[in-house]
Amino acid sequence: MLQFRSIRWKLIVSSLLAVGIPLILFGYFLGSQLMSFYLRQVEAELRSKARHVAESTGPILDPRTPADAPALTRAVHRWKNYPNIRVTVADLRGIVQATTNGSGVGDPLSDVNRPGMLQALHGDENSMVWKNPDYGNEDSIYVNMPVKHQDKTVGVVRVAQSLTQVQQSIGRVRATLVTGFAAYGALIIALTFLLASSIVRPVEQLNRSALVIAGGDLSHRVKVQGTDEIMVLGDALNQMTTRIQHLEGMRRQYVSNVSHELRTPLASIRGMAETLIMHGAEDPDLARRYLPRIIAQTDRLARLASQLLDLAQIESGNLVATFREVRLASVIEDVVHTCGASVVERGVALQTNLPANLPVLQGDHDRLVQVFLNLVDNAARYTPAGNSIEVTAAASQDAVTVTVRDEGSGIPSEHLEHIFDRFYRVEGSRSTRTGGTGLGLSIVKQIVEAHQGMITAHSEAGKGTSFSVCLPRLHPSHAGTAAPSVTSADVPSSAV
Amino acid sequence: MPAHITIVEDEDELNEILHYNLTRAGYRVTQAWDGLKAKEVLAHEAPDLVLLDLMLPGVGGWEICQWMSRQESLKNVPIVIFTAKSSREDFDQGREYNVAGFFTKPYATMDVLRHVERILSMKRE
Repeated sequence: MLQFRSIRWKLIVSSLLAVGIPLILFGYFLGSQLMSFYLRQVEAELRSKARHVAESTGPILDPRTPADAPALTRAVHRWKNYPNIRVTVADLRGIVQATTNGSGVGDPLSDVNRPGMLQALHGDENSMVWKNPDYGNEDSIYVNMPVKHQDKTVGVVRVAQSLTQVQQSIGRVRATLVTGFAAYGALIIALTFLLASSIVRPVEQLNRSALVIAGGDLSHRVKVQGTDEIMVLGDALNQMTTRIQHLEGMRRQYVSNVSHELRTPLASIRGMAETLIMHGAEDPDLARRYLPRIIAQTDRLARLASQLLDLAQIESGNLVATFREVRLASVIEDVVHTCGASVVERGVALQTNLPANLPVLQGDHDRLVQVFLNLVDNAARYTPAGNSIEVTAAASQDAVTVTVRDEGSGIPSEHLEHIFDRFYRVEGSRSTRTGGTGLGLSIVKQIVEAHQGMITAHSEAGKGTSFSVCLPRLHPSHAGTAAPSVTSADVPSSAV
Repeated sequence: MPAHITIVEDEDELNEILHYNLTRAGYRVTQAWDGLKAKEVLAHEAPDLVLLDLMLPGVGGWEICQWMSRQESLKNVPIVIFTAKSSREDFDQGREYNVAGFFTKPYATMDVLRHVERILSMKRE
């Protein structure tokens, strides 16, 4: 079934229809035109013969002249030498007076054996094609003409010719046409088949490749040859596969990173618990050292879990669900309220310096709090006690920029370009003291971009780091369609 | 003379837990928290055994294995690998070097101690 719905069969059938139907119609038309042309030709010849007979027999048939049967027979028998020509002459009474083969002389005319002759006797010249049972039922053409002498009808002449020869020659023409058309049709089928194959073969090749790729072999590529549309499709398929392969690689890397980030705190918790079981009794100091760290590690796992959830929401595109009017001052207020105490606990001062006339933005209050909480928390972790963190804001015509500046050790430039990458961490050793998951800044960047904003980082070794978040003063109608199309200026966008 | 073990592990706590337990078990322990430091420590004094985390910042675990295989004093030192993602490729790569064991995190510290003991006792014989 599928075979007959294939491109190959569709092309063959449609080209056959396109070529075959006109050919059949043309052949039929040509045949009938040829036939009527021949008939007209033969009829004209017969007419001239009949006229000739009428002229030569008119004076003989005239009843006013004495009957001369031998002269009449001579006049008719002159046509004996013409093959297929039969001449019949009847007088005014309708009695056959002479025929080329001599039969039927003396018989009265009737429309059964001499159709049309009676009609001609009444002055109407006529012609017809008729199957004469006396001549093997072959088609013959008959011309019946009145014989006139001195403008008076004196008899009738009929000249007949068998059409067998004409029909045979037309039959030969037909046979030649049919043979030619059949050969032409076969040629068309062959050419269509070749054309169809040249289209279908690369399509089948593409199909096989697509199936191999769908089967999981992402390293497979279509062999692209030529320049036609199918090859363009093959090229597109290759590009798509390369993209999928790239994404698959990133997905594997991501899963592997997640696994690593989950297993490492678990290994610490397990190791500390085991050590406590083995040596807790003999070393009382061990519990005092390890138990708070076990709690810190579980906190790290919990934070990782919620950040993985955030990433899942980023992937599904609904990280920022609701765009409402947001007062930046209130966002920063919430940030200070939430983490101010823990910053101060580290011996770090948190200063905010916001202009009074900060504009109202469109955005998600809670997500923006998450952004600045993360930046302040990060700053606090890398700022030695006795130093300060400063949060400042500046409004321009169409944007507000909030900067979180710390007086920490700074981020080396080779790290700075990766700090928004997932699971990238600046510190040489991972430790619960800083407690990072490697996901925080990546999520911050995604939230900022969902607000059509951008985040940039500047750092100077020994002097500190500053993160600037630039948020556009979105018109309400532009909110909601916010797409993370703007990438951070000096920082390459993070992978994954 | 107690056996000498070098721990190369970037996660502070894991490094410390191993150090604590191995010291308690009577071994002499040196520590490194990244690849560069590891090379330094190993070059300074060849241990009897290396406990090596694969995922290290900067110079990675396999790089250290390769480097050790080229050092006359270190090429015969058995290495026990710690990894958070055990994969077939990692396992195969281990055959190229003097790897004497794989532990996937989170591992049981007791198992590591037993394995270390077994390797060192085989080495003594």
